[in-house]
Amino acid sequence: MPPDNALLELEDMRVHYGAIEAVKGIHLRVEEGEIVALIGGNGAGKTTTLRAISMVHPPAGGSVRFEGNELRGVPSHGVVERGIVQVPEGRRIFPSMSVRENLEMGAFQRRASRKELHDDTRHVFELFPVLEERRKQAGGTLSGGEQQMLAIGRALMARPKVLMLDEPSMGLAPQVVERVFGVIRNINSEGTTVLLVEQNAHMALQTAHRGYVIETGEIVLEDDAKTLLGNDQVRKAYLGEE
Amino acid sequence: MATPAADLRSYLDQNYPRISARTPEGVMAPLGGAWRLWWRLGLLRYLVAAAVMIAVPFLIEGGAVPYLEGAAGNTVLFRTGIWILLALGLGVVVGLAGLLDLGYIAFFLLGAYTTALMTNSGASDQFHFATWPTWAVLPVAILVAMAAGAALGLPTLRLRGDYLAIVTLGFHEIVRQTMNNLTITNGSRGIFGIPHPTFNLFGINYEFSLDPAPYWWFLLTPAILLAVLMVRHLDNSRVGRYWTAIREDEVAAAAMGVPVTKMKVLAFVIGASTSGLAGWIYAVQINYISPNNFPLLDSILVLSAVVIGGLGSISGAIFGAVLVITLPEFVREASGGETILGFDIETGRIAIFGLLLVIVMIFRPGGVFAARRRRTELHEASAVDATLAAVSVDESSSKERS
Repeated sequence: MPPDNALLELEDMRVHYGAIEAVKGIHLRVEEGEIVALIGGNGAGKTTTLRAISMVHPPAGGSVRFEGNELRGVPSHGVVERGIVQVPEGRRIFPSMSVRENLEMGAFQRRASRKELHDDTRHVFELFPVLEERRKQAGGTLSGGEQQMLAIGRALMARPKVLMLDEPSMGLAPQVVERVFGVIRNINSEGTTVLLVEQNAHMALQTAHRGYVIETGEIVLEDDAKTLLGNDQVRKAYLGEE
Repeated sequence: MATPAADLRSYLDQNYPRISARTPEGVMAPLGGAWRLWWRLGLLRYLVAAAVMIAVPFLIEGGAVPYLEGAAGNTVLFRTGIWILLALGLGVVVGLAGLLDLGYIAFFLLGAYTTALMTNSGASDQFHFATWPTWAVLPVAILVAMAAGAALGLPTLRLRGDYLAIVTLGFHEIVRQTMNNLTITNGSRGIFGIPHPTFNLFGINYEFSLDPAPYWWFLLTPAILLAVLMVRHLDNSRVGRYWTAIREDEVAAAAMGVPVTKMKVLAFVIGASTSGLAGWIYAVQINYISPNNFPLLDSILVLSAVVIGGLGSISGAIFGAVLVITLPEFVREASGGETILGFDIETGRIAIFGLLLVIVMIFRPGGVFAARRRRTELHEASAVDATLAAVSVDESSSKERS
């Protein structure tokens, strides 16, 4: 792949929490139309990487380029405006807002017109019919799976170019996880690029085109998702196989 | 604070189901008619409210309000009006944006001092920034309070909850002590002789003076209604939704592209605006101010007004302000200097709020007029806790299996 068509590119990106370096100069590329999975154990720096890209916790060094432009120095709402939208870990929907209001929050920053709002809401309801049934219900009263779908739907309302998902499988029943990843594939086939952070390596690598393995703040492996699934190291460390 | 449903029955079902269940259709039907009519009035509602408010001083003078009669009654009414403005402003900061501010009276103080230092007040050697006509200082007082709001908001953005509360508490004391020690503000002796405004329009000629005549209330009436209009529309706007999002989950709000920083500062600025206005009215009415008029206790009292009334609710803020000002007066008048167990009821009247606050928090944790959203948040907090507990049980049991 030619190096210049990367939609999102991290170069030697470092992130600090005080004196601790949580991410130690990683390189990562996401091409347009791809699903890229970033897998790793607890505390490896997966979430930190996402938070750095979205500038919620800006990196201390290196560069984050999106469509060729440096993102460092851009405020987090500016990152969303440019088209990188994050579905935060643990879903974090707004509990007192109704399902519809939660979805509207996603579209607020791009000042969507009433028609766009209506069309995009319809689109989300087509992806997640259960949300339409519950559109008037307070977000906090939904089940875990429904909340995850709402969180993804809310992010889609922002019409992202890159959708970043942080542990979408967390706390969900296996069947629900299957459904959520099915939807992620659908979203991707509609043209949205996806960067996925997961502990559930098996599910993530089955869904993604390419994968990165992160350990204590460093990328230790990078390959096609299929190859990674067959990699002995990965199988032992993340898939629980002998 | 969203517009209630046009149908009274469904509004009650949503908000006060127990009251709804006990109200027979025969009672509900005429009330529902009046309710529909009220909401159909649109902005004319504010004119109706103005008419009702203007009637209040006449009721007081007619002796219709027990214990509050004549001049004393009008003084209490004036203070109530000032405090309604304060509670509405603080309601934006605490109720809508969810930022705990324990130093709100500092903005009120700054509005009042701005007025004093920009009009022809005090002795002949009193320092002035300007000697403008009283009315001309009104926008300046509001702007100074708003600027102070930004000045407090910007450096405290990274603080939350208790930490923010402590810094704002300190802010109040810093501002008050500064006024207490500066030469230009005359220190603890304060500034006297702040000129009253004059009104000379449409052939109506008023020379406002210190007497607690109802025209001070007529000045407060449009101010309060404007503040209500402003808060209501902000709450129902994009900004209001942003504030709700920040209050409920700051991280998620940021992830959705809510400009968190800007919105928090905006809450402080908007909140401070009504207290700047109140500060101006207060200064030009009482025409003498000193740091002692703005004690820390008032910052706490105005917060209790907002909490007792109901966070995030306009009617709650108004109710709370009325309660905080009038209840001690009723108690003072009613007690007639009596003591209980050697304890002077009159001096102990502030303790009532401690008791009241505890009672309200037990029986109506969202406040007397709890906002719908706030109530859901309180409910959801417990529901979410239950879910998390269930998830952690799941996880621990799956660990045991593996």
